[in-house]
Amino acid sequence: MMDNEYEVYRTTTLGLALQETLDEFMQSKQISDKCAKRMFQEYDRAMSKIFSSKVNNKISFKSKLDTYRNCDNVWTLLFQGIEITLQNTPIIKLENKQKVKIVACEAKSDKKSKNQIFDD
Amino acid sequence: MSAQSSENSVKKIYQTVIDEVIDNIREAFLDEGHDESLLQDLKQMWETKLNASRAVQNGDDHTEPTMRLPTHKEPAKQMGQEIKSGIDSATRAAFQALPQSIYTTGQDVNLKLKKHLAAQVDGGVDGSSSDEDEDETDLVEGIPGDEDDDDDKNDEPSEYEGKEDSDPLNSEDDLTEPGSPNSNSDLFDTEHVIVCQYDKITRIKNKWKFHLKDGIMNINGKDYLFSKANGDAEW
Repeated sequence: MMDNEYEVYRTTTLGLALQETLDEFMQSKQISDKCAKRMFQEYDRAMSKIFSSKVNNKISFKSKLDTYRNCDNVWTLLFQGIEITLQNTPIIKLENKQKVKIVACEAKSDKKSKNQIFDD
Repeated sequence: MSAQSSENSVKKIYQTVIDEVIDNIREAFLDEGHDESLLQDLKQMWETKLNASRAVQNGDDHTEPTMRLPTHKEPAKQMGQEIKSGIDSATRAAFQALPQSIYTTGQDVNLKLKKHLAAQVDGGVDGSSSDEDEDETDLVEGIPGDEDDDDDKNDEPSEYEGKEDSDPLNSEDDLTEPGSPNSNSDLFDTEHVIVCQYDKITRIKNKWKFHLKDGIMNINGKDYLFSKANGDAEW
């Protein structure tokens, strides 16, 4: 279960790099589990901050939905090929046989301060 | 004016996250009795692993094949040399009277090899072989439900026929549990992944609309960020 919606970014390139790093430091007993957990919370917080301050671009995509699943308000969608239109970047196009997965958790309403999520 | 899509700024944004996490954890880290140097080691490993992933590397894909080709050309030349050195001195002397013919044959071999190697490089780059693998696994994954049914049917008679009982137990089908969590995660297994939040996902008949936000896309091994994404898809 996710405590906050920003935990979803732990499975990205940056999050996995952190995960692997922390695993190695924990295995060699250089840091504690508690410390690693704390670090992931800081990571979640930093991710929420960069999205609200540094990322500001819109994209659109067209695709064919192959499989979908909604579990605990987390959507997992599998698409067959995709055409993504980004700003100032050539269109990204994947063919039908290439599958694209989207993992999306429910966005909290903007009224709620993003920092409140981490106040527990 | 979106700089977010360029890899350079993705890299910068990731660095901002790393710096911020390290800065914010410092106090708790030192409180636990750790050294600053350990924190720096951790930071360095995180950065190294990120860079090793190639998701934030600079430069476009097209540089890769041209960088690889020269190394593939060398074996072709070496082969040509081996062919030449394999010829004994007497024959070589005889052929020296016809240097042009050696030259052209050697070139033909090189040309064929280059073409062959170039084809291999192309195949490797567009990743068609891995796609075929994916397709195969998809096919297999489509079947387990049926196979499981067969298992059940097989299992029932095996209760009556004692000798056949042992064989089905050792068969590979028994290793895949019906409805095991693995079968589900494999179904969604792909190298192109978008992680994000959704504002709204709606469907009218087979037409789906997606309103997504705050996403990180990893497409063809490269990372892209977006703040808003609108998508259409048919099921």
